[in-house]
Amino acid sequence: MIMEDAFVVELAKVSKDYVGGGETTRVLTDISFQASPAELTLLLGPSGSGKTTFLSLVAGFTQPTAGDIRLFGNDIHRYSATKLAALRALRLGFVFQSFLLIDSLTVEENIELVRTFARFARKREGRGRSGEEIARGSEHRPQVTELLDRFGIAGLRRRYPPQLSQGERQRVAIARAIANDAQLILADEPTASLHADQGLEVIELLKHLATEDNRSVIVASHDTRLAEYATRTVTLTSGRFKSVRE
Amino acid sequence: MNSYALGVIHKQPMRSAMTIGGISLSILLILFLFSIYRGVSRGAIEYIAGNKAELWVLQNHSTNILRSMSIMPESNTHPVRRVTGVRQVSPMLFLLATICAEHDSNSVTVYLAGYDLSTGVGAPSALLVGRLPAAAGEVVLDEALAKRLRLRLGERARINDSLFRVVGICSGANMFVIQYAFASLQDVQALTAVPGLISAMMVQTDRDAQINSVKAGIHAALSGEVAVFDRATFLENNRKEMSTGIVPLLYTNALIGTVVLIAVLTLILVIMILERRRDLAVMKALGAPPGYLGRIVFQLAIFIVSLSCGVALVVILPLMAVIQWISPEITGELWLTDAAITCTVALTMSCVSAFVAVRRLKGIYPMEVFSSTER
Ligand SMILES: Nc1ncnc2c1ncn2[C@@H]1O[C@H](COP(=O)(O)OP(=O)(O)OP(=O)(O)O)[C@@H](O)[C@H]1O
Ligand SMILES: [Mg+2]
Repeated sequence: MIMEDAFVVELAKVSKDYVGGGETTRVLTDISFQASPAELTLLLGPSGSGKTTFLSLVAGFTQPTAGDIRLFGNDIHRYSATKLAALRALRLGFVFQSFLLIDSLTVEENIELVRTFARFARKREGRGRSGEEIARGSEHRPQVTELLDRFGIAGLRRRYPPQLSQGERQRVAIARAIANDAQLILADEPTASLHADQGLEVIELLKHLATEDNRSVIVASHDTRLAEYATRTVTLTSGRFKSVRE
Repeated sequence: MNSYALGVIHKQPMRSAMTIGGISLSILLILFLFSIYRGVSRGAIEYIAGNKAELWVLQNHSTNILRSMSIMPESNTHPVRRVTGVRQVSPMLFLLATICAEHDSNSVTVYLAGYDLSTGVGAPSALLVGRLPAAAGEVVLDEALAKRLRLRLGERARINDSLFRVVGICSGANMFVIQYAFASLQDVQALTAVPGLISAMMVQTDRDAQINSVKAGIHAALSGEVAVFDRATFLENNRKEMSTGIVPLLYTNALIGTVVLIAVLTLILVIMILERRRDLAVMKALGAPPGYLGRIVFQLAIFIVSLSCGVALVVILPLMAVIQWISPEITGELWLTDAAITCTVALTMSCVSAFVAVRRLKGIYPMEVFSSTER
């Protein structure tokens, strides 16, 4: 069961070491962090400062060496790989620097894929819930056409990603990120592959997802110009939070 | 079928075609061998099955006429004729000889059957054109043999050193590696250095005779020096002799075909997984349920093999027609049960391949999405 909590993400004294080649590298040290709905948190930091590692921990892709991570009030440390996958399918959305759309699927199928995963996860969770609750869960899932319209890519639904411009691909990726009605969006360098104006368009879209849809969005980037769109900015330097600006 | 799996197939049509082509070839090989086996097994005993004899008398310890030697003096027929219940005895001599067309030095080996023209027992049962031998110097050839030698009705063939006129062409006398030719007993005996030899006697009994007592009578009449078989036993002996020669070959080839199928398919699936690693990591990151990626691999494997089975089934009949046209002695017979077994085994093996390949998925981590760069 997923318990509701005021914080979407909560990290308490989290450290992360990478072990490899006989040596241990500490990448994150004693990180404490919270994110709430309707926030766009910008995670700034130079290359190698640990931004991606931070997002990986939040997504449950890797386990912290020390400390606790809670998503929607649940300690994900105890989650099995299957349960983590279900959590991502139901409540998390991703936006990547290189879009990571699936080239052999159409725009529509790319978006549908996430909804399929969510359907599987809901069925799995549904074993312990009533039919009414399941129905309610699927009610506010946006229709694919609605989603495409919202991001101005309705005309592209039957195209394959290689037939799209970079900016269009990132808009498809953003549509995919909320296709399961995710409450937490993790974006790693979402503007880095784009021209300046396209990048600003994308950060504006992400901001809307936070402020208008009441989602929590965490954007990792080294582009300081994005700060004016963020509800708060956190700076990472050598694995530690240096400054937090609300 | 999963649209991603379908995409893998149709986004790389050349590779998919080559994979399906290769696998259908290995299925085709097995179907082909099965049909040859069926054709040969029938062809090898067709002559015996069509024979009117109720009892076969051979040299002691001989059990069949395909792969055993039987020689006895023709005078053996006299005591047998006197056995109670025996209506008619027809002596027969089988001889391996070389045959060629009169003006062509390319010779092949023939299974020459010399039979008693007066009783007619031992004659080919399915005459296609012409007539049976009626006098010395006449021969009837199996259809496939006639085609091999390009001999037509009325032309002459040289058997060892004697010339024979082809008076008829028959079917049902093709044993795949060798074919029958039929002539009079005397003509065939004349080809041997020792006069008065026969290989077997075919016995027909009186209507009210007890087969077993006739059998015992023949045994006693020749002081136990011969082997006597009723029709059904003799047919079965020959069938068994045939199978022991060809079945191990069939199994060996079926095994090789199966191993090739598994190897090719596993390789293709593993390559697919490695090439699509980024896509598969993305699916894991986006929360693909357990078994979802595995199902894609299984669907791919089953789809590829189903299509290959279809291709093989479509190709096998025309292929056999072409082969038979090139080598008339090869007669295939495709049995529905053989095709069903082959396809079922192939589909099962596709699951084995998928099972092996799926283990590669364990080494793909959702974390990889963060290290992926634009292609
Ligand atoms: N799997 C790993 N094994 C060992 N070290 C790693 C691994 N992944 C990342 N690191 C190291 O951890 C540090 C932080 O990496 P991370 O990718 O989190 O940085 P980043 O802030 O996202 O950098 P960038 O802006 O270049 O993307 C780097 O020094 C990197 O070399
Ligand atoms: Mg990074």
